[in-house]
Amino acid sequence: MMSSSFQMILIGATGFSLIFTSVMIIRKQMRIKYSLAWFLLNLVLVVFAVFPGIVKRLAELMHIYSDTNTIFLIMIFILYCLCFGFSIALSRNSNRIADLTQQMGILQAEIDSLMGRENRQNKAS
Amino acid sequence: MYCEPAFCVIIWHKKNKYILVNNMILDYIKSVLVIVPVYNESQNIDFILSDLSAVSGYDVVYVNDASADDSAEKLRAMGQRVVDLPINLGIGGCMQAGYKFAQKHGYDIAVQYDGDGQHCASEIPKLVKLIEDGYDYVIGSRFMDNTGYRSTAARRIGIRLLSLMIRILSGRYILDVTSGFRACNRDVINMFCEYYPRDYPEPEVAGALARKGYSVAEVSVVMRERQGGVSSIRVLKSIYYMIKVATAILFSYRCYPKKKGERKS
Repeated sequence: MMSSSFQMILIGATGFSLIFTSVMIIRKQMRIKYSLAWFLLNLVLVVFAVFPGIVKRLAELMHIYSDTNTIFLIMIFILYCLCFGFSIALSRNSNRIADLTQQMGILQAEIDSLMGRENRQNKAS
Repeated sequence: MYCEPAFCVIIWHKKNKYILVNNMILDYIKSVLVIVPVYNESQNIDFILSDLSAVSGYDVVYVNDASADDSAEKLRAMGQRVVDLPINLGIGGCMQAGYKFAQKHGYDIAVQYDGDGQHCASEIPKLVKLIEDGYDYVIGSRFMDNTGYRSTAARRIGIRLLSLMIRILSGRYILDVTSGFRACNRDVINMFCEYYPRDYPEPEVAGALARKGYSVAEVSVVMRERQGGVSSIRVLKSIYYMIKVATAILFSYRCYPKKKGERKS
């Protein structure tokens, strides 16, 4: 069984997390796209805290002894998915940065050679 | 016997040279780009420049991987072409920039020549010759003959293991999988522009090309002892190196397309 104090902790933590996410969005430090995942996570937590019956039912379905362990398991699973998604996003961004860096370097080399040619022509004339 | 007077013309079209006799293309001279990845090699630059000036006919581009010292300024002051990367990408990203440069400027052959002074410019023609003979990828090897190259036992065992792994997976025997002294043709340049590993690329790329049916040749070259700086493989990193490279050899060959046409043994 979930104790009422545990329910309060869940709701409190969720509220804090919601405020923090909103502030980051307002300060333009988090893209809405990435904040959705955190809002979803918070929503799941609030639902579990308000309706402990759902957790109890899930625990019975998964043959888990304790309700709190069910919440932990579900949260870890969601976090695992999130981290996996971030690894993919990070790799993609890293590739894009490398591509941009390389293009910049090549363009710089071409500009250098053009400028060098121009300088030579100026000297000749 | 009457013989029409022949006139010979050499045409430079973009980077390519054509030799025309009586308006027929007699020969086509392949353009070669030597890519020199440079990272904090300020004290080696004079040596590299004099080494490379000993061989003629090749264009050289230096890729500066965001060196902390004045490598790029030094090279520019000497009138060299420098691809200056604003962010450090590691040897793989650095080489890929060189291959992209080669692709953009239409070179037929790209040679990797490390900026730490280990490779001898006088050996470059050996690699280029094999590419001209039809190989896709040529590796300059330290171990084929007894070239007097010394290295630690642990490193030799590591290289042997990776070599064995590539042999089991591809059936090709490549001795010196970690050598950075390489040459490749235009097909391979185009593939490298699409995908090139970011760190420790050498064994991974050799294995991937061999598995995909590209003709990989190895030629014996003389290498110098390291002129300065430290090897990118340090003792503590060697375990990570082996795991990363082994995983890469297992999977990354799928990043490359299969060789078109018949296999060349």
